[in-house]
Amino acid sequence: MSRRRWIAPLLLVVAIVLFHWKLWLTNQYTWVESPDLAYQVLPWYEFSAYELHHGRLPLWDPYTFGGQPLHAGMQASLAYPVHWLFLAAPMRKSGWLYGTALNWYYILIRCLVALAMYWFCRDLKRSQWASVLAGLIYSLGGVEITTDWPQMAHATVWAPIVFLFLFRVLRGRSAVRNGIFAGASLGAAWLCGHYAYPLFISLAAVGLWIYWLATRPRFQWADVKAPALCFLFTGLVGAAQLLPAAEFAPLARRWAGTDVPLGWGEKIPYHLFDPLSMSADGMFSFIFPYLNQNYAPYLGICAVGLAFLGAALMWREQAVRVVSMIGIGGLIYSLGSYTPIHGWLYALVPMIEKARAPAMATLLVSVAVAVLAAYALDSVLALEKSEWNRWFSIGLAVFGFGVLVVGSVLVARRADVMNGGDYFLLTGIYAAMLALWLAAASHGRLSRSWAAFCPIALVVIELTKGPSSTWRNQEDHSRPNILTPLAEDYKIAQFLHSERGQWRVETDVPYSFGDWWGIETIDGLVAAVTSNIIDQDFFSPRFREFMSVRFRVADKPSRPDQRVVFEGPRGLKVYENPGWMPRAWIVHEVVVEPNAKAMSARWTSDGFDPRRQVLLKSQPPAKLETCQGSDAVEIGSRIPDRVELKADAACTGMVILNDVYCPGWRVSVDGKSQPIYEADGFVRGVVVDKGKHTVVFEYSPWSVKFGVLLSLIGLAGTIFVGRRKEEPDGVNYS
Amino acid sequence: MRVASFNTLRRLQIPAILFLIVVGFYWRLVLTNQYTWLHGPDYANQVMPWYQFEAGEWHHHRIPLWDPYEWAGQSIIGQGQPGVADPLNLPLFWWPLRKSWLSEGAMHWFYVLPHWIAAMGFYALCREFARSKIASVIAACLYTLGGLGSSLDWPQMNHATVWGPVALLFVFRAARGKTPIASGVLSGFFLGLAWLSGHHQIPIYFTLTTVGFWIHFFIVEKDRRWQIAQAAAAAMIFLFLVSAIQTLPALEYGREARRWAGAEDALKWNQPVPYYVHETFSMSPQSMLGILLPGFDTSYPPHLGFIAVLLGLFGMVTTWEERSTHWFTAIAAGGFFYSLGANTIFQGLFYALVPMIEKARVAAIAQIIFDLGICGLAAAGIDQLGNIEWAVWRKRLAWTFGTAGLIMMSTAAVFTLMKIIWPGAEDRWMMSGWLALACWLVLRRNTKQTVLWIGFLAFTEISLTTVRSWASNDAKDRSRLLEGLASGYDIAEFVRTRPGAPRMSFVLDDIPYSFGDWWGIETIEAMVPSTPEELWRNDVWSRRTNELFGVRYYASKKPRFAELSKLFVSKSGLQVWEDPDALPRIWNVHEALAAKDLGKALDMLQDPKIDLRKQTFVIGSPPKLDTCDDPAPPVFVSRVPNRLVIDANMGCRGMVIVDDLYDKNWKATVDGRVVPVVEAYAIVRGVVVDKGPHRIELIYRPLSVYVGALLSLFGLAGVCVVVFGRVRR
Repeated sequence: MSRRRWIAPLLLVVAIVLFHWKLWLTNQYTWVESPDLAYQVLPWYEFSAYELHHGRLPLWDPYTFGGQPLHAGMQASLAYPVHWLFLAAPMRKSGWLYGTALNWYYILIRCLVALAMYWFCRDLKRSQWASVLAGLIYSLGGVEITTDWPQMAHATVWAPIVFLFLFRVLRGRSAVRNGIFAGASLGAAWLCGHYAYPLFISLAAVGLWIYWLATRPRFQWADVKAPALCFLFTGLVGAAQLLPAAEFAPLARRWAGTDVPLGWGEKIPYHLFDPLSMSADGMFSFIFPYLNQNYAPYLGICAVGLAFLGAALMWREQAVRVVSMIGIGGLIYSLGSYTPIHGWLYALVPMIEKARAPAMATLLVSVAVAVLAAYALDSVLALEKSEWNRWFSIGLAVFGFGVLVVGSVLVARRADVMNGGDYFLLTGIYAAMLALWLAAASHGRLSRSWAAFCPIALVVIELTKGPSSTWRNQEDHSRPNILTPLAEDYKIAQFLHSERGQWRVETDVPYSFGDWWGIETIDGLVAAVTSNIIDQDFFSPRFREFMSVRFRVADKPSRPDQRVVFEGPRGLKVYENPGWMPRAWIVHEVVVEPNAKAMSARWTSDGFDPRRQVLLKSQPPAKLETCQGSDAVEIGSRIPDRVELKADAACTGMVILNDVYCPGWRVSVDGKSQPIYEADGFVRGVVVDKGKHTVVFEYSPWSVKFGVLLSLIGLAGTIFVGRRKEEPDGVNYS
Repeated sequence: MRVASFNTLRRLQIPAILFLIVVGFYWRLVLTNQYTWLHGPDYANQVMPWYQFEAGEWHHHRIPLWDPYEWAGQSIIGQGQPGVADPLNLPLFWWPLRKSWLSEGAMHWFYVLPHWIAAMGFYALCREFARSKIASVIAACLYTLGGLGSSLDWPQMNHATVWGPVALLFVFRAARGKTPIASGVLSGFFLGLAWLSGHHQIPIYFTLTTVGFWIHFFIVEKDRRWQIAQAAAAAMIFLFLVSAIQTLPALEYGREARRWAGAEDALKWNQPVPYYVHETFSMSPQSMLGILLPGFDTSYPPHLGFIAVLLGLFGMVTTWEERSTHWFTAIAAGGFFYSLGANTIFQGLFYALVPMIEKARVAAIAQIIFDLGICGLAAAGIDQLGNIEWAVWRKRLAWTFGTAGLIMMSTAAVFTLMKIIWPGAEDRWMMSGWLALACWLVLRRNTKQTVLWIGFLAFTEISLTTVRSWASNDAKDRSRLLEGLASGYDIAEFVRTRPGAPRMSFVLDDIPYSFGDWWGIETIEAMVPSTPEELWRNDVWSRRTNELFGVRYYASKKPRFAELSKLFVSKSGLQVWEDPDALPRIWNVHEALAAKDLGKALDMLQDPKIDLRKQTFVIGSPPKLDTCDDPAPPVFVSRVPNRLVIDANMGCRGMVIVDDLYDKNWKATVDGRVVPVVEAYAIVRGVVVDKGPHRIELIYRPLSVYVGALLSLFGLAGVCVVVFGRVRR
């Protein structure tokens, strides 16, 4: 019996793996198909994996924007254990990630998503067939596959698990124990690296707790313990990611669709939510593929039809009612500015506005559809007599026929939707087939296994038209290859690597050049950057010179005095700037300017000489001296989170390292810890006495250490609770 | 005696009825001289020239194995698609020629008769499951005259559809325990015949279907697994044996050839056809709608008709308790989903997991499997129309027809009024609506004539496909392809009369058909799906390569090379250009150089320092030749496609070069003594000859064809033993 328990999940995994045959049975496809994935996420992975394979934690990324915290920026998923598996996968000898590893990573995520939903449905006492169906729907359809950024996809694994424990609570099982599990699962979702899905799951969890409290026979303050513990464990388990992010976010500016990047305290303007909301006609994209809808939640008519059937047939079940409400809630939220609900939440609930794509809340619809479809299948397999079966089979047949008629009109008119209306027709056919199945299965005309297999097969076949069907065939050169720049600029990288010295590069390429090629740049494709650097006169020649920007990689020069020194295979050129400062030097004069804006203005003024002077918010305790002798600073060893300098000061001065200042950097002089200064408002400085010194800058943020500690405590607490025997079930509310 | 005659006549009754129906269906082709099915570029420009060449060869008592007229010569049997070994082609090839040309009438009967054979096969399949004669006749007509059976006009594909139903019949017979091994043998035999048709796609789909059923029966029939395994093994062995005469040469050729399959470049054997090509050739959803209604198609018209499909569904519902219904449903569903290609995951998995499936790049053609399944179900449905047990469902069927008819007619009317651009269906949708309404009327009553009426209406519906499909001789724009074939006669006459058997080249944009095969002139251009790698790895478009191949004349609107001089202007306006530096078709050399590898050899061919008239080169160590002047150049004594006889008088040891494409199956003798054929210039044939006069004979002797023929004969003998053994028992 115990062996048979594993057959269905195993089959589910096999089905998911086979579904992605393009990725592992051919070498013609890749899922890295969108600019964000190819140009931003992939370079992060390349850098992270490289660092990990060299025995270092990739907490600090020196290659973008003069150096930025990578882990605290969240999206590199560095606190998520499943991501470590990928980063630890073997790399090519040349230090590059294998495409195979990337593809299997994608498949692994899809398998985990399916298994999580399978577990949830099994916990709801659904049959193995029904749970497999739900797993397939949730893994292969919905917004969670359209948004295939791993940092988002990982979080979708945890939604069913969070609901699993919360539904246990609703069913009257131990609220504290299951609340802790739900909280820990939610914390795990927050570890994944993106906040949108965890935020929506958290909102749903809050709603479920409120519902639970409201439906208690008699309210007692002790009842609050369970939700409180739930969210405590969310905070604990998620701390390894949440704390560094919380430290970084107030210091950063974020590109969120506005003209200028927004600071932490600035709300995203509400008009920006409009284009990222689910439009009213976009709702058709639940059942029709390729509609022009952001974050299309395509689930297919079979899954959606089954979900409606499940709700109709099994409304008596509390789980069905609750999961339907979750789905409706998600749908209403996803409509964004089309309803006042989202606006109220935007206005009243802190932090909600950070999730700027309400359409992504259809994740909750996907959860609901998958679960309800499982209920529908079980009901049909049980041959329960219901008029709904008849009405649904007629309704689906009529719908299918209507779609075929409308589809034929679209085809006739060569309409500019869904490949000239072509794919519209598929939905009609699948609706008709589902109707046929329902009519046959509900009358017992199919054996149980066929009755179960047919809708599963239909769902899988229909979901073939999901995002994977639009992946570009690598051998089809008639379509532009998004990965071409990543491969073709290697000669430029080779040239730059061959140039001696310590300098930076500015780029005008669509991807994170620095992370990809391991070259320090002054820019990059990132979601957020510390405000201390971006608030400077970022594009001025003076600033670039100060930041040691020696080369420019672009089609055109940005200044007339730049000269071409190299040209790459696709016409991209390397320009050299006429002058650039060294990476480190010593100054002997402090200019105090407590106000950040004024400091920035002063830095750009002609009266200020950054080679000689330094701007600080306050006078350092050790006063700098002015002297006639010459200073010297050399960079010794340099790895991302540690820079060693050899400084020879003629008298007391401040060593300036033109890497971006960020809390978490520590400095020692000759092995003795010293205070680190935010020199000139954005780079690092340390005071040294006269003579020769070894200065070591190290990145060791307390938020990461403390966060990891809290996560471990949360995890240990969860395991401790898990090892304790659960008390007998309480009242079954269903 | 009288009784015997009567029984014989009764046996011929059904074939005669089917014959009349098929001929009646194709009345435009065989009862008038106003239409032709040869209106597609592939048929007119590629297939017709092949057939013309093959028929010419048979009439000269030669088996067409080597085609010297295209691409400097290549194996014609190895290409597969010319259908050299297809028994259904032989009557056409053997049919008397009209002034050495295939007659259009023969071509039309050649098109029609395989449909009749297919109908008989499908009839037998239906009768195997105890369907009534009338239901079997109607279903057989639907299979062969509707759907892809009717619209696949490439004979090499269409002929394969003939044998699929019979092959399945014997699989089912074996599964039901009726002389399993003999049934397995016959299943393999008919599947083998399908492979002989020359094109691989439909045989692959039929083979997949039968293999699927063998596996299914092996799993399900637990008590008879050994028997099923034996039958399946017999089927596979006889499939291999019977088809060997075509598959072995095709395999040999395929491994050495490059194929144009829709990818950016011609593909080698070990290069899978990229999946985006399969995506292109998948059945589009609108084509899917075209199964029901005429006019909705993107490439392969799949129209089977509303009536046939609804009858099939009715048959599925009403006979669901029968095993055969499950089988036909599985066939229909499998064929349907496979033909959707990239629109579902189904075909992709086959592409990725089953070896060689990727060679079948047109998933849409798997609709023939769907047709087979749905027509089998339709036969069951027709028989159930009169069954009182299913009267309620018959009523539902009638109302479905009625509703569908009304919707079709009203939509068509609205479209017409709104002047919506229509994808080629015009008023045929309205006609489908009328027919559906007629079905509603017919099905309202249950009389003896109901089935006949339904059969007639289904027949009328599938005939809607043909209304617009064939070219009328009066419609100039549609039959211009055939006229195009005739327009090059003066060019052919001109080149043919030039001395030295020169080779010619042309531009496919100007002459879009296989000029060489059609007019019997050796060319270095043709419309073919594949060419040998030997040729393609060279720069075939360079002047030097063309000169090596003795291409003296070029037919095109503009000169291909600046050095060409204009010689002749044809009536069609095309010009014939001459390259005075072209090498002769045969010459001697007395110096052989060594090319280190293939890359070096390819460079040497384009190297102007090498005098191709005096020097040759081979990959590896060259044969030792002596230097001298020859008393006379070599001459052809006889020259037919499979055999060349040359007289050479050498001043000293040298090499006689024949600038036909090298192929390892060409064997040489000098004065009756076997000598090796050298791959001179890494592309053409050379024979080393000692001093003095010699007679050289070059003969095309492909081992794969001989072994294949032997195996096929062996298979045929085995089938005869099985069949006569059964008759005797």
